[in-house]
Amino acid sequence: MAVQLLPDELIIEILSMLPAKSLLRCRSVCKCWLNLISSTKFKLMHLHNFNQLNPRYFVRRLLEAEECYDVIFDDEDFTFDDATQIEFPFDPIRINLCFRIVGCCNGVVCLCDDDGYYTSTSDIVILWNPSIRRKLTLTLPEFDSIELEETFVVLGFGYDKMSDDYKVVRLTYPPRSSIRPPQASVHFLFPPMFGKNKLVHVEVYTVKTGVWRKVMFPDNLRCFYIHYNWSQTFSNGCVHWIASDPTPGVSFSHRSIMTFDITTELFGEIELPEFLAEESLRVSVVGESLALIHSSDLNFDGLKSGSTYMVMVMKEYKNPASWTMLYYRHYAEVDLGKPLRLRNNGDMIVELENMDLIMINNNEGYYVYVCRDCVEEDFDCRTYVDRYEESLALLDVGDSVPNKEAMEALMMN
Amino acid sequence: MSKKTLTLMSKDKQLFNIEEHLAVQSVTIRNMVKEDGASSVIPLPRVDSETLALVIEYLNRQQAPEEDEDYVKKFVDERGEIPTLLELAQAALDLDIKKLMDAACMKVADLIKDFTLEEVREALRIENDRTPEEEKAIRDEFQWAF
Repeated sequence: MAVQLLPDELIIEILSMLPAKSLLRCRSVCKCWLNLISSTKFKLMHLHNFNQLNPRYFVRRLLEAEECYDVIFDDEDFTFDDATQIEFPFDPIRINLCFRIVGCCNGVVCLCDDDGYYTSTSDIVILWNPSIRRKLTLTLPEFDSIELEETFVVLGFGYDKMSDDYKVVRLTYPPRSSIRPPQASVHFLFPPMFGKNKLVHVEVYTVKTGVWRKVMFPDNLRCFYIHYNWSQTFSNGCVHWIASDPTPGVSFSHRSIMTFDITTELFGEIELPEFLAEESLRVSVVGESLALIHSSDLNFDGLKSGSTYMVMVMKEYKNPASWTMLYYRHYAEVDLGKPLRLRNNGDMIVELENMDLIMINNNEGYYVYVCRDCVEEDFDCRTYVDRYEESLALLDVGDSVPNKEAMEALMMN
Repeated sequence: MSKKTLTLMSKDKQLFNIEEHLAVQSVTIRNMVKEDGASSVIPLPRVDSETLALVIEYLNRQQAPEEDEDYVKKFVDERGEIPTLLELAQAALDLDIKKLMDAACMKVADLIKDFTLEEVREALRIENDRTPEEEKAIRDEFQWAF
């Protein structure tokens, strides 16, 4: 008697809970599984089901001048060990010790090989899916900043649910001295390629098209100047950066959150709570809510006496009236360090000056070391923490990344 | 007032009684009760008696809602054999008991995640319709995952 087949619905459900690595194998099981696993509908279902069961974080640290990457379970312990380490297959070619991580979204990490301080348009950008070891190296944009003096570049990375596509946005800034607010009647000092009313040149790359294309930058944003040492947070379909008002004389003091909607490709601005609008801040998320971290440790200048951390969450997205304080912690006796990211439960990951990582408990304010094997390094912006979702992204585009072992074996032959 | 009881009949014609308010956790049964009062026996032609006994045991659980999640996990954990889990998942699919189906599928996924191709085919009753050459071509692309 032939074995009774299982309903498709059951098979799909089971497969959607498998790790990406198992799915790569399962593609060989039979023809219909290959079609199933390659379909967009299944990929999205897997992204949701698997990651709901396996919430994890992606952490990059710089240990003895080596980039170390871990994928860590989002549980109480937040433990680093040999099993959490993942292989990093790239070597930066620029003078920087490690890549800048633009963002990490739906299983894809966006890396930029810049010089560690300023990003430029000639820097190589790579999209990397560690779960299935695939990468896509972006073509260089058409817009060439070499003809411009002192420009710097800000990148953003996110996933567009509507078109099931990953996008990278690149903002090229003119020198600050030449930035004029649109309403000012002072003549423009921009090089001609910026165009008459364009303060910032914007291009968007989509994985599906494989090309960069120009996008309009609006002329009605007050705060649009992003610090060169930028970092982004992707949530609610938008990239978020902290930006300042570049008006001369205002001295960068007024800030807000600049947003870029990955689907509509429109820029926007979210007001900060007024008492924080002139402070150094970091954008993060708690669950699905946009969050802000204010800390005495975000400014390295000045004398420190203990550390303070305040976390605000935006209960209703894009409604500045809904900024609510989640907690405020003051540690009078110790200088802790720089806040990196909030976890889904509100716990804060903080990087100490010696690059050890601690986790501040959201309810009770105590902190525990999560990682203390770091060595002293005098670098800023090297440690990166973000949510990690395993996915099958880039399966049908880009190239596979050989692991180092395989590379060495190849060289030997 | 006595609680209303329903009778379910398995594929092999065994009868099981269950209180109606517990049985309607199954969306399928709830809809049947709503439609015609389901006064007579409810036949479940795809569920054998062993599996139905398990489903009834699950429906009869008395758990506080906050402990329920752990209970379902433990319930399927204790039935760690893949064929049993698949029967259970299929019954839960037919009866539309989402939590039970999810938990059973999750357990199966956990058990097969490191299986070889042949083991996966056997466990999930799939016939190999690929030639060795086709299989090799897909395999070579992601050799490290095998």
